[in-house]
Amino acid sequence: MNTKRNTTRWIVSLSGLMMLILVISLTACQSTAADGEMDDSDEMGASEIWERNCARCHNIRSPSTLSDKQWETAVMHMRVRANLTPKEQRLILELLKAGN
Amino acid sequence: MIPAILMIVVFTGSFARAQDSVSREEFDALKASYENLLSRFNNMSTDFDALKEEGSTSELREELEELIEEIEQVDLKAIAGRPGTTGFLAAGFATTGFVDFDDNDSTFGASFTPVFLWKFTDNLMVEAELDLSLGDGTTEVELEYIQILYTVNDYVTVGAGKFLTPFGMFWERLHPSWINKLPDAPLSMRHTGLVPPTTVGVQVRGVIPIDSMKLNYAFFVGNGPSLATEDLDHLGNLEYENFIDNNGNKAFGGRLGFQPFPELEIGYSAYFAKVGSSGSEFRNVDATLHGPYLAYVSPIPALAGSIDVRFEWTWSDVDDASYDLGGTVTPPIVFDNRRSGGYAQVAYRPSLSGVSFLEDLEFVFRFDRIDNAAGHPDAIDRNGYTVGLNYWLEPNSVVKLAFRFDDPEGGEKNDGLMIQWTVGF
Repeated sequence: MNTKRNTTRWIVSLSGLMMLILVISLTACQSTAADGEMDDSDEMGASEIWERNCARCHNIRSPSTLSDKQWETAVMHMRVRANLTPKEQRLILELLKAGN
Repeated sequence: MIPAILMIVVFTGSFARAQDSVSREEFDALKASYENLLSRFNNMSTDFDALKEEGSTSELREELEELIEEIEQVDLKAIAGRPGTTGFLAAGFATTGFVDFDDNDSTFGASFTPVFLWKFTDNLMVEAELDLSLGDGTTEVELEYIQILYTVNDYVTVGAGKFLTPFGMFWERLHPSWINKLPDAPLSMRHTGLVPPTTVGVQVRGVIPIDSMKLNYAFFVGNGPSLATEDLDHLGNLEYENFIDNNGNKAFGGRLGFQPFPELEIGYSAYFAKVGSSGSEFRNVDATLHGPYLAYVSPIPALAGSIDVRFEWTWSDVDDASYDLGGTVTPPIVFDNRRSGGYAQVAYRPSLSGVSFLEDLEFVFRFDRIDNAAGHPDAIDRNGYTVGLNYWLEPNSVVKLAFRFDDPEGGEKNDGLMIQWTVGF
């Protein structure tokens, strides 16, 4: 029993470690690829913020699925749930309204 | 002869001139006629301009009137559809599915989980989620959460009510079926008493930007769990549906999360509570839970898709106690009440493959485990390996097909097939 428990702990530790290695590797790939792609436009910034924050948990939806007023409520809800900064909240909301 | 010729010439010339000239009467008549015509032309020109101008204005006026009428109609419709100044939004998700596990007969199922959001001002909102699911001959209704939120400033938000516990990430962010990538929850996230799904109390939370990085925090105080002391199967477990507190002590805890860059978040949570009922022999039993979490989500062009990596682990340590099940067990049961559990999950979606069918597919693998208390009379440690294939019909609707391979350390295996169709709205 103890042997199996120890084996499982090893499996868990190993899978955690592998996850970390995978993430670090993927991050390294990403940052190398993204170095030359950084842009300075506000619009692109808003679009990236929208995509990165929302797509972290779920698919992003078309702005037309909700009205401007509804987006105000939804984005306020998501500010708390997804830990958005006030600036991110404002930029995402403006982007959704502009695309509506 | 010459005078005669001159006379002829002069006479002829005079005659010719007489033929080209007009008389005074003729001249006056012609002049009057000309002036008359000029006057009439001028009048006609003026009339024409007037008519022309009148015609355009009239058309413009007609168009303007139509436009005003149209605007008034649109305005009326907008007013009719405007729900006052309160921003109300009904969201949520609907779930239907089929499961076939070894230990039970296969069955279809369905549930409906509406989420109601009210935004009163830029600072104040209320959120609530109901869960309506099918039980054995009944429809079960649960109030998953009801929370009033007030944004104090850019860095502080206060919430009170019954809220999703900011412990790890699953319950707060991943529990909706259209977001969870597999049809079921990991073992440690089910109502097994390991991770607290909800808390009745107050929380303070916020996010602090540090250059391009973010630090998020949440601290809470609430009723906390009660200790299971009568049910042999769950003996020593923490029961989080302790909606009316069983003691005067309050649980408290929190979570710190750090995003060094947008794709990665790592964090740690902790939770402390006294769990025994007031006046009982368990009144001094303490429980401590803590554990890390990690989330990495990013498109990876080299893999022609996006990858979603999650890892979450929780350790639970409850003080040792003697359980005699109301005097029915002698000697009392005593065991080392330490448990742990969690999951590691990887999902890959070939969203950059350029093939529309492939772009809508998603491959998921999850390992989950629960370590129950050593020495517990009815506890079996358990591993699970779940493979899933999802097909996204729409960005908010997915059909999931998954198979769970059960690996218990003792007891019988309980493998199972799960099919689920869910819509988020």
